Amino acid sequence: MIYCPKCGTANRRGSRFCNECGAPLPMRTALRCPMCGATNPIGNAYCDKCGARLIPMTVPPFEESGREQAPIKGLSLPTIPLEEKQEQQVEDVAEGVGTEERETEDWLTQLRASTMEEAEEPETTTEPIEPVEIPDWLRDLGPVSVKTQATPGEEQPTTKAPLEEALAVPSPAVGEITERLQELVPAEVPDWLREMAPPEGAPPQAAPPAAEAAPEEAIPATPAPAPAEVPDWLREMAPPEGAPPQAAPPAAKAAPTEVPEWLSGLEAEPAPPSAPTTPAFEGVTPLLPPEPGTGVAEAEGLARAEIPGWLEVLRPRPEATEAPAEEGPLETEGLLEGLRGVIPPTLAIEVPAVRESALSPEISEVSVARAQLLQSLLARPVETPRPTARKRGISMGERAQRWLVAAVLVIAVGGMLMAPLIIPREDIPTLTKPAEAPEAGRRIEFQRLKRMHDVIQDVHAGDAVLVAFEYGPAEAEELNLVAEPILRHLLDQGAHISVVSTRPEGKTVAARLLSGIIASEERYTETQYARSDYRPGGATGVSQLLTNASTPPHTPPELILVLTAQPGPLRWWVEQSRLQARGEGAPAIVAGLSAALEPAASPYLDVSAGQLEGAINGLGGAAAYEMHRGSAGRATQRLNALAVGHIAIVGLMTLGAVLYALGGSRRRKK
Amino acid sequence: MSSLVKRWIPVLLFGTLPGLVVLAGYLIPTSQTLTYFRDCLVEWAVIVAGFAFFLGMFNVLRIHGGRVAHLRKGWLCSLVLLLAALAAWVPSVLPASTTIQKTLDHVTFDYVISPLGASLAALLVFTLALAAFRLLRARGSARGVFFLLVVAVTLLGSTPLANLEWLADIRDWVVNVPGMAGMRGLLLGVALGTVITALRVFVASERPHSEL
Amino acid sequence: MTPEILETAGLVLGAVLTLMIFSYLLGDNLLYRLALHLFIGALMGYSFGIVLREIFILKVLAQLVGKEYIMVAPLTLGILLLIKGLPRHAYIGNFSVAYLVGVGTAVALSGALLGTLVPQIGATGRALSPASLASFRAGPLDGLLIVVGTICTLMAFNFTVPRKQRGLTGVWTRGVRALAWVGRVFLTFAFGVAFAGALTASLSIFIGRIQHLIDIFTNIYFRVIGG
Repeated sequence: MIYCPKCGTANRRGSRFCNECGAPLPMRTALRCPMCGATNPIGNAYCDKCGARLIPMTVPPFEESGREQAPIKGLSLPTIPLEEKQEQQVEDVAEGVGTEERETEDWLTQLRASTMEEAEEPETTTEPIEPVEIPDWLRDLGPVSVKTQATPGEEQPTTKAPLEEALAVPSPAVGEITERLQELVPAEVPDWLREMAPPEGAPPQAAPPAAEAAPEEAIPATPAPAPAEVPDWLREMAPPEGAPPQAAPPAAKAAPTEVPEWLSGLEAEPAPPSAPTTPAFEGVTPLLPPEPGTGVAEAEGLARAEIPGWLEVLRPRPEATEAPAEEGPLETEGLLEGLRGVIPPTLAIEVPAVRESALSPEISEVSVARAQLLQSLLARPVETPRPTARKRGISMGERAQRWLVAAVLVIAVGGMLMAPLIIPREDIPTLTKPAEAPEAGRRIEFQRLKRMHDVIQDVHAGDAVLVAFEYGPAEAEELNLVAEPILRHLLDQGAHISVVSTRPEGKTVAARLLSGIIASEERYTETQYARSDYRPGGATGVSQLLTNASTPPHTPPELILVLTAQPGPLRWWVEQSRLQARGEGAPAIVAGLSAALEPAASPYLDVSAGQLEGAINGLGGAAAYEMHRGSAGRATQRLNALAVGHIAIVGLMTLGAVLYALGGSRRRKK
Repeated sequence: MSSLVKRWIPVLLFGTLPGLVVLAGYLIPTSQTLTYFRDCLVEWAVIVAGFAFFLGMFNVLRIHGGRVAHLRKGWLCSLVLLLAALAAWVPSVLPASTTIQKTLDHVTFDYVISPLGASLAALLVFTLALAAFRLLRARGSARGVFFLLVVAVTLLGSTPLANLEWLADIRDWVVNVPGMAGMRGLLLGVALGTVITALRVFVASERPHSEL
Repeated sequence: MTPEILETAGLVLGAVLTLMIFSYLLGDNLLYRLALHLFIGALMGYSFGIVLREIFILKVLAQLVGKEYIMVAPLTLGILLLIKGLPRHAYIGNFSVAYLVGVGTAVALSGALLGTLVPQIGATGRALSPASLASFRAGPLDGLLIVVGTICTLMAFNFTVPRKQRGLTGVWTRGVRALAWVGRVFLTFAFGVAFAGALTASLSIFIGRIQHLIDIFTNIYFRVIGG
């Protein structure tokens, strides 16, 4: 049968919707027990094999809900045969569950069944006292009224095993029975029963958890053995002395009653300190045997019961049972009103039951060490990892390469420069004369040089020429040699030079160079070298320098000469002069550049672009300009050293290429 | 409000607006008003750029001063830097054209700054030559060999030895035809990138100047 | 101290400092770092003096004294920029930095647009003009090579991963990739020439330094030996 989760109506197995309310029914064909893995029918609340709970506590099974069991409804035309038993058996066979197990009379199943029969008429607010079957011997004593006692407000054990619940019988009934018996036939009450009677004046005992009162009521449920004889089943269910404290309601901690001899032999070792000692048969004695490890002594006459493993696992833990001893908050509303320490409204399935594994893990030293290491690592403060600049040591091979290159260059250049100290300068052959070659005139480089020469040649005396010294002392060794022939040419033309710069040291470099040039020739005068202006800011500074140069009282320049070793200043001057001169006569721009700028300047120097009229590049260009003007200067003197230096560098490149090519082939062979 | 003050007012009021005025002044040169404002704004920018130099210098002094004050690693070099900066600044505060000022200026620039700067630039030849020596180790491919060939032709062709003037002709062609074409492509690419970056700065899509 | 002795001492100092820098060839050492820091400090101090005089004194203060009170505006912006050095109040300097960036961007934009893009694109087109062809040895071939090289170089700047496509689109993509490869060849030419130029420039400076050292030593030698 499948019970509708909404209205509880029993529906035929195989039904998809409830015949009563129409709610969809679970489509699962079976429930697998989380404890033992056995498959159970959908409608089961507890596992048939081990008794574990199959459905969460927030959805109380129909058996526990205490509701009136709704009659089976909706028995319309069944979709499946009515012989559910046969179907169940077929399913069980199909799932590998033999019917033999089902047919095995499990004493727990029987007990539950008997309990379920007794629970046919539950009360709504209180737990009803299940009607007990009064044994013959008790019936002979007279009518006995069994009162029920409600158990609201008392602590409810949260981890009660179903066994305990199933066997729950309020113990006060025992006391009342005893009293009644004493009233009726005091003399005929057996000793063992008389001893069970509570002391006079004892406070009324509240109903204990059902499990602890079970033995007393369970006894009448089954054929009562002879008073002197303790049945095997009872022997096996000897209550532990060290009962969990929550199993003992506060009211049950009254003066202990006398424990009969046969039961006192079953008393366990002294209970744990946290647990109050509760004598057995006080109405709070649990059915379960004592906890393992408590050292229960062998009781005289009663052997300790062997608890099956599955039952042992369900034993409530002391730590779990201790917790409810602390009074939790009182529920003030809802179905659980008046109760304390109830489970918070979450699915029990979310909270894993505290289970003690059958085998305690053996913690090895290695595991302890690892755990300690992990803990120490986690306890360390978080540090942002900083990249450590690893200082790589230079290998001998790299050092040798560095020295080889340095030695070759120093020897080649130094030797060439020191040659005049040994050999007279006139006897030293000129290794290279690029501008004097017959084909030199066809080269583009020479055309640009010639254009520049012609532009400067067109400068008249008194014309303002703006010379931008865009280099510092670092590049002065090369650019001074490049600028010198051009400035000499300008001074020869009588031009009026205005020095500008966007570099702070540019003015000083210009002053040093011009003063040296002017001082070298008598025909040059200081008046030809006028103001010098400095403006920072890159292109912004160039723009303002051009603006100032064109603003009265200054004369707009006829020519702009840019001397630089960087591509940036060259670009700024070319762009800004073109911008500011739009629509007007733009001054021509020529440049004296470092050899490194030759490729960068070539797009501006292109005839089709026309942005730069002409330029000379590097030491070679300066030497060519000097030769073109017919005067040899410092640039020409260093041409030999430059040529030898070029040969040395090409030689080093070739050597390196050969070495690494051979080395690479050897590495590939390996 | 803080975002408005820290980000948007600087960007729009002090960045984009003057920039647009200057741009308009360049693109419309016939308007004298725009040209006047353009020149004015550019002049102010030059002055502010001078203060930017001060800011950079103060930062350097602060870092090296802290290193000397706390005797951290490299404090000796930092001390030398600070003393050299002080010594090099002294000639500029002295009256111009006096003997002492000229002497100090001469010593500072000609005997300290010039040789040190030139020597540092000269070290570059060793680095570049070593790089050329090891080129095929890093780039052992046809392109690496081709690169080396171009370098060799350019070097030898700039100062050709006797009877190797044909090398100068090849070098002339390499530099001014394919080399120039490649350089022009690079130049156009840089210019296009400048235009796009400038537009992004104007629309405040890129804010290198604000903290946010 | 006579000028000659001063000059000799100065030259010797220059030579010693040069050798301290060249000691880097043996490896990084204290002498090299001391010389480097000396250069940075001296250049910084020297430049500070020039900037202070040229900009602050001669431009700003002189004009303020000349009652051109408009200079208060850039002076204020400059002082605000100095506050950028204080971490807690650095945001105040954002105004000045924004101004610098705005104006500088406008100048760079107009220069790039009208000073480089338009003329260079026009020059690429005019590469096949008679005047241009006349300057080349190979004439039309060189001009065509310049046009093709410029366009292919621009196509070599491709930072996306090309998808494999089929059909006509695939042919087009492969064609574009082939042109990009050609552009990289032109770039190799350009970088090779630039590398050679940098080598030549640094070699020229090195020649100048060696020559300087030789001049110093010969000067001292002849001064000492020659009396």
